[in-house]
Amino acid sequence: MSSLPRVNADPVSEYLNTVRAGLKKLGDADREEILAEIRGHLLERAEEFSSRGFSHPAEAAVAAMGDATEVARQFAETTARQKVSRSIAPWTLLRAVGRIAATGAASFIMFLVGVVGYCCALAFGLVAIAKVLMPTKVGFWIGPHMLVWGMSQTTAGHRELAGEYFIPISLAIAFVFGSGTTLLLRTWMRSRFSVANILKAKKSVG
Amino acid sequence: MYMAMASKLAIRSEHWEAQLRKGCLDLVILAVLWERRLYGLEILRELEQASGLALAEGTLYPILMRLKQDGLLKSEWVEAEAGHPRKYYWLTPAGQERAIAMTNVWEDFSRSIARLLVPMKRSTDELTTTSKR
Repeated sequence: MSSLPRVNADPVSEYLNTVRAGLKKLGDADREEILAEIRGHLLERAEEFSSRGFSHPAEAAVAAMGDATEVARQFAETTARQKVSRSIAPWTLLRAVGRIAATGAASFIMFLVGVVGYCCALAFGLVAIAKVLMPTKVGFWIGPHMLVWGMSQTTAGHRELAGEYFIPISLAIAFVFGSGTTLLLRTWMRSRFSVANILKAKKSVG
Repeated sequence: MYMAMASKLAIRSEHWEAQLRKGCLDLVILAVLWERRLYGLEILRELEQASGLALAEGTLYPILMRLKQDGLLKSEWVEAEAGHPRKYYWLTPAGQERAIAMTNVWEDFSRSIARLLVPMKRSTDELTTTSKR
């Protein structure tokens, strides 16, 4: 990519270096594509300012572009959003929702829903494992004043109802909680940043 | 004290206006790309000329990236006489659908607001007429 000869490219290079530093976490190809687009913009703007008689066209182009760190932050946020909306990793999703949990009631509730959903998935997964280790103590116990899906200290007078289906049922419930929470968080994160949430605003206004 | 209050109000008003403009950015970008393929700087020029929307130029590109991620835009690098390639953007069918949906929402919304503002506008017009007399 060649620079235009009539403008001083130094402020442009400096600007691009700052943006590059803010995009360290991006892949090389993505980062270079972003930088190529910004470089082209700055050089063309500088050329335009030069033809309009500006004494420092490159500086003016850089100033019009705005703070380089902020531009890099916006790119990084957009990329992170894409990563989150495609991720199925509970930790990645919870961390992303956790970061914005303090920004409003909906975000906070969604964070709580995420925590509870994944805790339930984990709990049902753990009781399935516990059943293998302690088959006589873990089960679906029912008795007077008692209904337990898991481990019971006293099994006398109680009946175990699930039997050999306890493990597959526990794993199925764990899967439903885990995948349901993931789907919910991903959908919510996508809609939160999407222009589509303007459509929802219509209902509250109309 | 009045000066400080007026200054605070002016800042709040500027903030509100900035938020309002920011909220419209997606729609206006989709709108300027409705008929033509444009590259970043052309989009900015269109925004400035057609709607008076002047924004920090660097904020445009992350928005274009997001709209592309959402499948509303496509892009392509094209070699240009300027000496550096330009990245052109255009609407996908999903982008066209979204632009239409957003336009409908915008029109409904602005009509509702305009109705709300009628009594206020009438009062201010009356006040202006009275003060002129």
